[in-house]
Amino acid sequence: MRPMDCTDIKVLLSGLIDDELNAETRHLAERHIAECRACRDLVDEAEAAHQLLAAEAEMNLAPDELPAGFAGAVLSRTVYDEDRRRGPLTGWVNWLGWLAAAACLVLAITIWALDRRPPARQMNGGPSPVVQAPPPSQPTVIHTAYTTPGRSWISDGEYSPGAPAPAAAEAAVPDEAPADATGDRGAPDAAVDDAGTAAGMAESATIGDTAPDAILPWPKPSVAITRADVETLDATALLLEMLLRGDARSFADVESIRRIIEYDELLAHLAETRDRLEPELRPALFAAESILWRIVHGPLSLDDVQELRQTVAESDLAARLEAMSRRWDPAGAL
Amino acid sequence: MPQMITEATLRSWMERLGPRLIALSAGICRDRHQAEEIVQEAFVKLWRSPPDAGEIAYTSWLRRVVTNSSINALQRTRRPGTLPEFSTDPAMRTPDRPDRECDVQEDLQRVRAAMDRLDAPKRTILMLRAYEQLSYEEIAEHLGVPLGTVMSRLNRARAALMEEMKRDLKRAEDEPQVFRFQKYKPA
Repeated sequence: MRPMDCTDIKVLLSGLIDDELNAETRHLAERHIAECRACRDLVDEAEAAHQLLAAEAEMNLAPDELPAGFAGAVLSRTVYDEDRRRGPLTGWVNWLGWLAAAACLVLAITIWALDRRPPARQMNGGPSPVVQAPPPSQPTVIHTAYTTPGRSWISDGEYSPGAPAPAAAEAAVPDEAPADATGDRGAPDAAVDDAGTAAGMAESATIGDTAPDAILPWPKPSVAITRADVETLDATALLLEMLLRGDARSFADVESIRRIIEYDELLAHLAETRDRLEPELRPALFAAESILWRIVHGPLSLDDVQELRQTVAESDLAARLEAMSRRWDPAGAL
Repeated sequence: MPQMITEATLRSWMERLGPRLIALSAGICRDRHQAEEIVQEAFVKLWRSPPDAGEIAYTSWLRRVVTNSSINALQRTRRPGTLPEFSTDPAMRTPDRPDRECDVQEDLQRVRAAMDRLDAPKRTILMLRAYEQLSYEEIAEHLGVPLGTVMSRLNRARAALMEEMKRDLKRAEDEPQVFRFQKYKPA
C-alpha cells in the first residue's frame, strides 16, 4: 500500500481522532504524521477542538439536573392530562357502563326469547299447547266430577281431542297476531275469524269448537294466551275451591285433587301458563303451583292440609285465578 | 404493541436523559430555552407513542427526535443561534486564578462562538460525536447516512469549526490588551 500524504491525512482526520480507522490505515497515517509537522499540528488542533467542544457542551449546555418545572410540564401534558380526561372514576364508570349495557342486553334477549317462545309442547314436538285431553279410550269420569254448570274447564262429551280440526282451524292467522307467535309452530293452530276480534274469537272458540289452540286476545300482541291457559287457570281455581270446601277431617278430597292434577298434568300446564303471563301476575300462579305441588308430592298431614286451606283462603287465591281467566275469557264461553 | 409508559418510568427517563438531551438540543439550536421545550416535547411524544422495541430503544429514539426537532426549530427561525453568556462558575473568572485556567476559559468561549457560527448540520454531527460520543456507526444510523459520509461530514464540520476558532483567535490577538483583560474581570 502506498505511503500517505497530507491530503490523505485531511481526508482521514476525523477517523484518526475518533479511532475509527482500521489498523493498517491508522499505521500508514501515523507514519506520515510522524514525519510531517503540519499534519501533526493539524491533528493536535482537531483533537483540541474536539476536547474543547465536549467540555463546552458538558460545562455550559448540560444542566446538572432537570430545570425547575420541566418534569411537571411534561407530566401535565401526559400522565396528568390523561388522568384529568379520564377522571378519577373513569375505570369504575367504564365498568359500570359495560355492566349496565350487558344487563340491558341480557334483559332484551330474555324478553325477546319469552315473547318468541312457543308453547313448550310444540317446542318439543309434542301435542298442542291446550290442556292435555284425556285419551279417547278413557272415560272422563274425573272431569265430570269437577265441572260446574257453564264453567267446565274440559267439557264432557263436546271436547274431542282426537277429532280433526275443522276448516276454521286452517284459517290464516289474523294480521294483528304476532308473526313469531305462530311462525314457530310449523302449522297454523289458531282458529280465528277474519276480523280477529275478541267477539269473533270467542264465538269460534266456544265449547265444542274443535280448534283447541285458538289464540285469545291479549293486551300485549307479542304474548299469546291460548285457550289452554284459560282452562288451566280455571281448573286450578276449581281445585283450590275444592280444597277449601273439602272435608277437613279426611284425605279423600286431597286424594281426588291429586289424581286430577296428575291425570291432567296440571302442574306442567300451570308452569307454561305462568311463563306466558305478565310478570306481575306470576306470583299468584307460583303460589298455586306450590300448593298443588305439595298435594301431589306430599307427604301431608291433616294439619298440613288445614294449613294449605288456610293459605288459599287468606290469599283468596281461587278467586284471583278465576278473575284472571275471566280477563281473557270475559264471556265465560269456555 | 408498545407498552404503556407509567409515570414512574417517564420520570426516571426524564431524570436520566433530560439534561443530556437539553445539552444536545442547545448545542444544535443554540437556544437553551428552546432546547428545553424541544426535549419536553420529545418526552411527550415518547409517552404518547413509545417505540415498539421498548425501553431498550428509548435513548436512541429520544436522541433522534431531539436532534431532528432542534434542526427543524433552527431552520424555522432562520436566525443564527447564540447561547447566553458564559454560565460557568464565577470563581473561574477571578483575577488571581492561574493563567492556564484563563486560557481554558478563552478557548471554551472561542469554541462556543465558533459553534454559534456553524450551520445546523455541522453542529449536529459535532454534537453527536463530541458530546454524545456516538460511534460512526451509531451516527450513521442516527442520521440515516452511509458510514463513509459520517467521516467526510465530520471532517468538514471539524475543519469549519477550527477555521472559525482561528478567526476568532486572530480577532482577539488584534484587540488591545486592556480589552482582553476587561473581558475576564470578575462579574
